[in-house]
Amino acid sequence: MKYAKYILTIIIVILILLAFIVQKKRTHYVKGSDMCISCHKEERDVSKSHPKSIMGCSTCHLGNPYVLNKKEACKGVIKYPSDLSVCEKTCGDCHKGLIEDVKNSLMATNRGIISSLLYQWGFSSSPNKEIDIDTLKNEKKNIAIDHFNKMCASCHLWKKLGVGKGEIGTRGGGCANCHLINDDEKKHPLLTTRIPSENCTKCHNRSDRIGLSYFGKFESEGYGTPYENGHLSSNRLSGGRFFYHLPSDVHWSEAKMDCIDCHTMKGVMGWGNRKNHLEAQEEIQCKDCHSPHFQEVERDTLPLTLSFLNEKVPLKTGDMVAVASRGSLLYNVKKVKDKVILYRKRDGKPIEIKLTKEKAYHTASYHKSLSCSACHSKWIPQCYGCHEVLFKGLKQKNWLTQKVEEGRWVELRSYLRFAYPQLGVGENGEIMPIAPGCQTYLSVFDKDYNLEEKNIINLGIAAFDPHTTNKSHTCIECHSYPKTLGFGEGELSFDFKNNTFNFKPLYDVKKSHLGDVALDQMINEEGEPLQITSRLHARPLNKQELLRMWRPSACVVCHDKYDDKIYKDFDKSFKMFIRGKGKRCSGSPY
Amino acid sequence: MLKKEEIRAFLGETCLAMMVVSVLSGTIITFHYDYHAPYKTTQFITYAVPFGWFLRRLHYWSSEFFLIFLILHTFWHLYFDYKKHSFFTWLIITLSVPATLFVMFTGFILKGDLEGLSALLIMKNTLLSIPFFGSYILPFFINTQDKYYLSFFYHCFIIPFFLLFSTFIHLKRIFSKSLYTLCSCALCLLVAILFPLFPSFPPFSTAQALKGPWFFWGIQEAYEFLSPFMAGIVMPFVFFFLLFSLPLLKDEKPVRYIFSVFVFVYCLLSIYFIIVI
Repeated sequence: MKYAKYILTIIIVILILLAFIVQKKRTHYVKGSDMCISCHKEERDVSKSHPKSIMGCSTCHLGNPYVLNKKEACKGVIKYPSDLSVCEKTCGDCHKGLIEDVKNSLMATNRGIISSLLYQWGFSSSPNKEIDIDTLKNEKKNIAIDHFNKMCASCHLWKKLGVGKGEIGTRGGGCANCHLINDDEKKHPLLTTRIPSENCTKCHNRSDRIGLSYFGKFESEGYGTPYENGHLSSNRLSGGRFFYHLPSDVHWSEAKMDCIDCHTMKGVMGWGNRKNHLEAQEEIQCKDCHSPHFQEVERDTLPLTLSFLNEKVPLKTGDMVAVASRGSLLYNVKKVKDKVILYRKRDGKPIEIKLTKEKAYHTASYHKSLSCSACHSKWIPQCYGCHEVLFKGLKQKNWLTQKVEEGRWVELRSYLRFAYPQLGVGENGEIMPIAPGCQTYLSVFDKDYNLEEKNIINLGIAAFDPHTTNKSHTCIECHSYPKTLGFGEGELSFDFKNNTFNFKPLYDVKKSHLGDVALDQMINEEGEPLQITSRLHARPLNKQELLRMWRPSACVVCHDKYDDKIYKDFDKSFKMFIRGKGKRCSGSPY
Repeated sequence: MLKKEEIRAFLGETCLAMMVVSVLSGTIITFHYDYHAPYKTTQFITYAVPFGWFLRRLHYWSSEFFLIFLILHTFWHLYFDYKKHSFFTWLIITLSVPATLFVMFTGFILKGDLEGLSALLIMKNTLLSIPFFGSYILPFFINTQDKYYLSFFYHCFIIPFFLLFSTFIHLKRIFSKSLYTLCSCALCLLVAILFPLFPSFPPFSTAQALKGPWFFWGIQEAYEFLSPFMAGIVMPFVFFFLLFSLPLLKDEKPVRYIFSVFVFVYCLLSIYFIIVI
């Protein structure tokens, strides 16, 4: 007991020294917005507007930002914070309104795809059914929904990022689907509003194939031709597909514009309410840039914010910017003196926009119902006859439930064409390109691989802008070509006395055993549609429109100038011609 | 064989030494603590302040020892070594027991984690359950503008000074004898180095089941069977009323029996709570 105090003092000193040693070994705190940085100090800034020094990691990835202990800090960490199932707590904490918009946008709901599929396969009476990915589970199961779940549902914003192999794995993840750039596997991905086109084309490379056509790629049949040194073509797409190089859209070939240079925030991310189809959500039109009207940029408005985030496009208060058809300001299309300049969002490069010429071919009354794409689309991918086969004895992953389920779909096709677009009437009433979409032949094999049923579900067509904008077609290419009119490949003649068409299809439909209608024939000689469309108001040309279009077909051979006087009052010229009162030509040229 | 007085002295002196360690370590922690952001600053102290982790552990374990030794000291005194004090002295001394429980409870709240936040909510609703006076009493414990402010105020200023005052009334000094102090310091240092604090749930997290401080488990379980007023106010009040009134009674034996039953039931409740949770 005599030395107890001394011994205890020595013990206390030793314990304090021990505390020093423990202190040395502990993870050292690095001053930052959260403690995550103390361990993840090597990570780079995700973007200029998401600096690590202010936002740290936990603002997006959650977890516990106040502890320096891996187990506790990483509890509740979300690897992909922009996933739509969690983004209200992450991205939505700052971008509240946008989350609602995105969740209701077509890329999240897939409403257009689902309702069109159900309509065309005969499971719905309207292509405008209010059915979305999140309400699909409440729907009575059918073969169309099964097809969607297994073949289409890997491509929507609710899909988890990283689920699936190859290209599929890069799709989904909510905001990250578009805004993420994974340029270095070892580093944190970057966030950007300068969205590279690759982020769009990873999804938009099937169906209408706009993401391919714009860049001059045409998905060919799966033969892998032309062979290269005894091997299959090296022009490959995802899923083992092949492509040919065709003329790309002039916006790409001449100006190297990306998708986001035209497509606006609202057009892509939606308006907050659920739209049925693309045309209801999309707001950009050719005329918005080529026949623009302008509005002054006011202080503290969205265009300035977008320009700030973009970092490349110069914009200041008072600048005059173009207004999109639905009122959004196009912050990258500016009036500079007498010119209209588009600033490429990728790098801010100024590109002078050619304005629509006030020439007869644009102002003529008989062309007023034409969309720009009707004349300026150089080609359109045409995928005729899609053979959908369901093997009930095999299994396939359901992308919505993420479970492997009975029934495997195989999609077969081999009749793919690139040609002048056929013309029809779009949902908005304008004459525009029209192409197969989708012509489905369905075969179902039971578990013993016996053919259960074989029936043509539908021959469907769809009107869309193929994104192959180039110099306009000639008059003959539109007015004299039976395929353009909607009859398909074949021989067309016209009895002008009886006002009747006579058409002999090139393809022998009966011998093909593919039904009663040639795949490229959209109308009969009476102008009645032979194939259904994916919209209520879209259709091929009717008899009246066909007649109007066909009448000048012979004239345009010689009278190939818009300012030719016969077009000043074409009805009068045509009557004179029919009555044989033309100065140089008369009678039947058809 | 130790004498009763030696045991009493050991329990009392250790209790005092632990209190001193707790007060000193707590004083240093207070400099870094911000009741506006309790969880953030608590964790900041743990991970960013040099030796913050050590001070928090020291503060936690010394406080736990203090409470344990205080309870042992009180019961030892009550059952084996009872000595009558004047009512005023007795009241001041015994008030230190609920005061210590309260300071421990506020310390639990001041962590600012999910458990602390829930404890604050329980305290609020318990006070509000007092008939007629609940809403008048509440502002003395919880500031509506700054919910942690009054807990901080009681924990760091009012109660520690009261404990020092009651110690002085009790012993006419506020430090324990040097041997006990050194022993207690060594024990606290050793435990602080060896045993980390229990992990806490951040206030923004969710948890299926939350535990209050261990001395509160019995009351927490009693909330299952009784109203908040009965479990949180009446039950503790009866217990402490009996303790306070002891010098006024001629014979303390019946009270000892009541205490025994009370403590036994409370322990059973606490054990049942832990099993259930």
